[in-house]
Amino acid sequence: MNVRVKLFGKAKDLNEEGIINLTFNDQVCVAEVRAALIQRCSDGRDEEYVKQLISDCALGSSDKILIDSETIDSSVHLVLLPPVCGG
Amino acid sequence: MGSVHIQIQEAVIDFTSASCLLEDEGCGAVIWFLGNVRKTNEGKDVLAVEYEAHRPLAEKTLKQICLEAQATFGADINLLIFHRIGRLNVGECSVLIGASSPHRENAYSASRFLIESLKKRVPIWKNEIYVSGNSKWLAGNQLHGN
Repeated sequence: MNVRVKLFGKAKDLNEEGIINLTFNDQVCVAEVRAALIQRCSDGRDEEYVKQLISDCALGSSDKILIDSETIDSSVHLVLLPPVCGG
Repeated sequence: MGSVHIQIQEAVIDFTSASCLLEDEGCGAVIWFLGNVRKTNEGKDVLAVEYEAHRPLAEKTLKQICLEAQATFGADINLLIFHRIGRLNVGECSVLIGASSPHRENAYSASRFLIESLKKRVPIWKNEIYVSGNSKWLAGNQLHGN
């Protein structure tokens, strides 16, 4: 199962292309996607910074914010949304 | 039921055409709030601000906020939120909020509710670009699922 995560705002510090592709063998919950993102992005970086940045973000689909216990059971496009500050 | 007008746009906000959208002979009060790009922030000289949005979710949330305002302050209130994205120079208007209602109290309250809710709940981000050449994504409010 492929999960494509598009990065917004400060989260783009994690990856210049603004996209992270993850592969899972089985269904996962949002918290597991978050953990996989932390692991992937920590390579060669300050792990604490990456962990804090991703933990501060919400994961969402195209039209809603997902809660950490929500299950993802098919290939999907997600978004990583840092704290907001419009206006 | 009052009207709701939402736009996320790259183009400059046209206040004259926007103001026509809130015209309502039943409304004696019209409140407008304009947010502009400030020339300094936290002691730094700002050159411009780049706004980014997750557009589908931002539009959905803005609409939800307007519906909540109507439920709280009066179903007959007309509401408008236009927010720009892309690069804005100092002095440019980044957000326009309008509220018209039969009486001023509800228009003031709704307008305040819209801007405060927007800042806390709508997926929009600011990257401040400084005269020095540096830039910084501004801190904000964490989003939470229901």
